[in-house]
Amino acid sequence: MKLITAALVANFGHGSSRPKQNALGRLVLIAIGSIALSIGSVRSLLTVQSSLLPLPLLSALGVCFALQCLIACGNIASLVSQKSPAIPSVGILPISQLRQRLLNSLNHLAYTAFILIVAVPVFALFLFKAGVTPVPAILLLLVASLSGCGLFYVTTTIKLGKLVALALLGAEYIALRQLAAHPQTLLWAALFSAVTICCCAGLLRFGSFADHLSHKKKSVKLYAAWLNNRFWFTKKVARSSFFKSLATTGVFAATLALYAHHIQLFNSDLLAFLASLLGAANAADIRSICRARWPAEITAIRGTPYFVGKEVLSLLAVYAAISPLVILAFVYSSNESTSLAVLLSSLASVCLGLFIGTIFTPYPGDISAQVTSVVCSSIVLLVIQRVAPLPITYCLLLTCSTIGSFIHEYIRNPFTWRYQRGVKKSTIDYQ
Amino acid sequence: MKSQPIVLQVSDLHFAYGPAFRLSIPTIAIKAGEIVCIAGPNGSGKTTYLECLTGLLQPDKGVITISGKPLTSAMYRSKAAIGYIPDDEHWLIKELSAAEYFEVLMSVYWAAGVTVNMRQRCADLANQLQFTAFRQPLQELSHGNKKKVQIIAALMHNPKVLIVDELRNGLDPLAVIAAERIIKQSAKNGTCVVASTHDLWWAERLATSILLLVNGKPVLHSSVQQVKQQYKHVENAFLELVVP
Repeated sequence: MKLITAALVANFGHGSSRPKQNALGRLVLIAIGSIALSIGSVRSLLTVQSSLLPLPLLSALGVCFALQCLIACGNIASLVSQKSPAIPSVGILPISQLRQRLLNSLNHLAYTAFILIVAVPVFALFLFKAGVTPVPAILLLLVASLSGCGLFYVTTTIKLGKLVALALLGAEYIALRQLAAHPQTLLWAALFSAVTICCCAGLLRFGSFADHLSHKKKSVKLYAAWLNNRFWFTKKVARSSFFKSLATTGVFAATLALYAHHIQLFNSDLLAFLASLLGAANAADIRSICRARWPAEITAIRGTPYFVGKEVLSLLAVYAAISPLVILAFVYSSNESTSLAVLLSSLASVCLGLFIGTIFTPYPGDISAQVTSVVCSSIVLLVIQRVAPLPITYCLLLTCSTIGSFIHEYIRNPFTWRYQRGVKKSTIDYQ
Repeated sequence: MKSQPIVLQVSDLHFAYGPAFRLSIPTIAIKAGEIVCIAGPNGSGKTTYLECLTGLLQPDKGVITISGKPLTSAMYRSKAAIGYIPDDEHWLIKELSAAEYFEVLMSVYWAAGVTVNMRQRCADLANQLQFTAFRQPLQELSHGNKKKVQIIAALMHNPKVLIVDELRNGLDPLAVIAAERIIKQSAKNGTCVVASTHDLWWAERLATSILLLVNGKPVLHSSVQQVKQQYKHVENAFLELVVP
């Protein structure tokens, strides 16, 4: 019990001067925030009329697909934050392998729990409206959650795992489309179930995933070594794990958007909300990378303003990754004003993710800070959506969060102060 | 020494990561009370070897046994017989105070069946190392004090096998003397010690045998007396065997 408490404090109070209070505060905030977000999304779904929903079987399989996609995608989006275990020394303690693995992967489990709290009520309501009875609905949600986790382990623990995961998702998507076109043929439902079982089999990789986190010594492949050294930045991007997770997030978001478009289930609010969640998670990841590892560029090139400027620019890459969802939300918007609000709200969510991530995310491996950032930014957006969903409000939020993240980073960056005061000017001034 | 039982036995250990590094050590048996110092140039595999011994890294091949029991995931309780002093403050749970950290470890060791009076042992070790900052958060402690916490944490349950990675790093001279005294006392009480170091004079003074690693392979494994007879000093052996 003491070990679990210590792991929770280490996970949720990471880098804080008052770890216990901070851990408790964050846990309460995440719990309340998740419930609030869940209620917000459920309210948004209540507006969908039951008559528009597809048949129960198709709805059930569709929910299974969407939930598993969301779990896998959300976890991949926050992969950088899940890279290290809360207690590195857990490997030398005399505790069972299962306990060791659970403690190692506490980050991932916390993030999955957060996604489930937010998403399960929405999908449960959807199933209820589509006429699926409670017992099969519960079983379905359970299978979807497990296969989502399995899919995530496949992406992280086997060679070409991301491609395998995408192939599995593609097969599911094709099965769903065929089932929608020919509802009487159960062959496609059988294919869908078979692929879902394959995804669930990915759960067997849990041990490998948890062990991989605790091992310090890992062989790192240097991609694009054949490129000339003049393209050092391209090499850096190609080798960055963040880039890889961002690319996967993009493909997953596109698959989800394709599916949402196909069954015409989601309204613009819900799609924008989904895009906000993924965007904020990725933006907070950018923050966690930049905060903890001061790269050579920050001192050797043009200092903090240049660095933060690039950081804001890199948000555009995040935005590009989640854009399929945004575009679809834009298409579904009822009028021009709503379309603009959708566009601006998703862009604001990314900037807000960066700003709140600046406050909450001090180190990589700090999943709690990332979840807190996502919860906070999503709640702000939800509140604005309820109170004043006007383009001007979103514009204001976008501007304020960008300026806020810039100022906050500028103040906290120790290199800025040293540089300005001239303490290390002779060693830093490489220009 | 010959009458002492073998505590730690490592048989034909192989570990590799990537094509660049391969650790390959033949069978080594360490008796109770023996102090083995592992030396070698940077990147020769000293820390990797120690991490394999602690069970942190799973070797690709080879068996590690402690008092005849294999160190496998199924035999996790045998890890209670190991104490590890790492050369990295990253190992601590920095969000806790030293006292809380020791309490967490005590609860784990008690659950694993350790019957030593760990509170008393902690107090004794802290007294010898002159460590008093029990209530301070670990993240606020100096590098040396963090090292003292790691020494106490590794020895509080009277392990049969003590694994030490660069003991002297960060410790002041008084603490080094105290730590050396503690390790010698533990060895006298039957603990076998495996320590990696770059300080060859320290190794010569403290160790009973020397294992010299180069590129993941042992180039020398014999008692300090034999090394002294052949090379006069451990440093000479290092210079002769390591420098091409």
